[in-house]
Amino acid sequence: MAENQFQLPQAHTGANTSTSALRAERPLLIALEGIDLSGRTTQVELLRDWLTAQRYHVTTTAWRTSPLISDVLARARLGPPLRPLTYSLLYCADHMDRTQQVIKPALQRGEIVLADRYTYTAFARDTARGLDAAWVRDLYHFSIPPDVVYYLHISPEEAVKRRLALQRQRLEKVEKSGKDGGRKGEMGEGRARGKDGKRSKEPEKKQAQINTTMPAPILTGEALESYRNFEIKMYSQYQNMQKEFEFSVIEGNQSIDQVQAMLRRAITNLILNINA
Amino acid sequence: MSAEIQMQADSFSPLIPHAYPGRLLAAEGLDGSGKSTQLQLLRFWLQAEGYEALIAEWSPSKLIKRALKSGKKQGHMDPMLMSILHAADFAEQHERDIVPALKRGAIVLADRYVYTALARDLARGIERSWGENLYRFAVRPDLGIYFQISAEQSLERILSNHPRLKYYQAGMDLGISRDPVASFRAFQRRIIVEYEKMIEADSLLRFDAALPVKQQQQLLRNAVEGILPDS
Repeated sequence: MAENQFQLPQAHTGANTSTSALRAERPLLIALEGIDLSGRTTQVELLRDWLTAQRYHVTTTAWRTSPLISDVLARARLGPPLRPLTYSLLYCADHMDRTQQVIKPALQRGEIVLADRYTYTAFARDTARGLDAAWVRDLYHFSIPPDVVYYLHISPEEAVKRRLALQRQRLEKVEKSGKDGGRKGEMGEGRARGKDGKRSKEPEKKQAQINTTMPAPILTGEALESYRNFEIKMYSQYQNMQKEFEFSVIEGNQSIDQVQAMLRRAITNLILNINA
Repeated sequence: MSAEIQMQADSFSPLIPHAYPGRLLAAEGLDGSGKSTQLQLLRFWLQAEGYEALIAEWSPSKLIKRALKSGKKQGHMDPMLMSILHAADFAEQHERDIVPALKRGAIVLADRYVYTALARDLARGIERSWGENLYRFAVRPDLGIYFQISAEQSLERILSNHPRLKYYQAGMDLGISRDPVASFRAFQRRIIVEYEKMIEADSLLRFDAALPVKQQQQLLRNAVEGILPDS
């Protein structure tokens, strides 16, 4: 995609000659939401590169990437699975830590913050797991409301389709490289991912947020069915929240470039409106 | 968590009463108040009476210890973050041990419950409404007891058993004083203020923890008899 397709106002410089740090007119907090495999992470990375190329200062933040909490979660993985309530609180701690350590400071520096999942993921997830919706929302009372939420809309069926396609790819890869990976526990998956990370072509993938994300285990039969059912629940939560939180809906069932183009257009308008 | 639960000022009463066959006793109070000793004695007595009785002790599990330690190392731990980590830890115990035991009909003796957690959180300055909401998942105890001792007594008892005060125990994260003892006193006084509010609002029973062990135990048994299920 042509980088210049959308003309963003150049980041505010005061005097236009300076090549030093550029600032947007005001900080922006942009959240991307959507059910599993809706393409959030990919889109956030593309947006970051695009905005950075336009000389905006950009900070990205993703679910579960607080060093403090990813450590707790890693430790939790060693033992028996925790209760949904426990995870709910740990994810909230993750969001809180990132709010204080990453999001707030970046906004104070006047940057654009791109959030790969935000509180809405917690609302959807915890409610889908049977926790009280009002309780969860009160829990996240401390969070900073985003300027805009782009909801990458895909159907649960599409999520299942994408999941199966991913699994097929991974299995093919595994067949090529011997009998590694596959149906291991999460710890084994973590190690397998470490190797993948090294093989990755993109040097930027060193970022902590990528390292802590683990490939999901291969699902078949009952596990796949429960994945489907969970995504159906998540989908209905997102659909319900759409109006309540005024999500900007972006159809996620298009090519990566098409989705990115729509996001860029929307963000361009957002920045133009703010600067106007 | 139903809508009919009324939030009273300074009250932690939105905890939901349970309908399980078991009974829950919450023992609250400063460190060194003798709760643990009393609960041990109570448990033996209950077992001798034919009940399944167990002690659920609230102390940080391995899960969050490292996170707390790293906060200590950095010299800063946000009170809300700390509060939610403790809540997560407690949530696991609540769902894994306490609720199933109550469902079985057991008598659960909680050696510190959400009241102590909340009192500490509030003493650290977290927003009251947020803190109260945080612990709302916990079942309401059938009996809550506040073992009352002064900050001085608490200090004395702790130091008679341990060489020094622990970092968080002394509230060193609050930066009140560089002197652990001075910090401890100030922090415990704040906690006592919060306990006092709860006694009123949540009808906790006040026990004078300076009384002889035997006498306290007798009082405790009398109070517990009032909540035991018919067997």
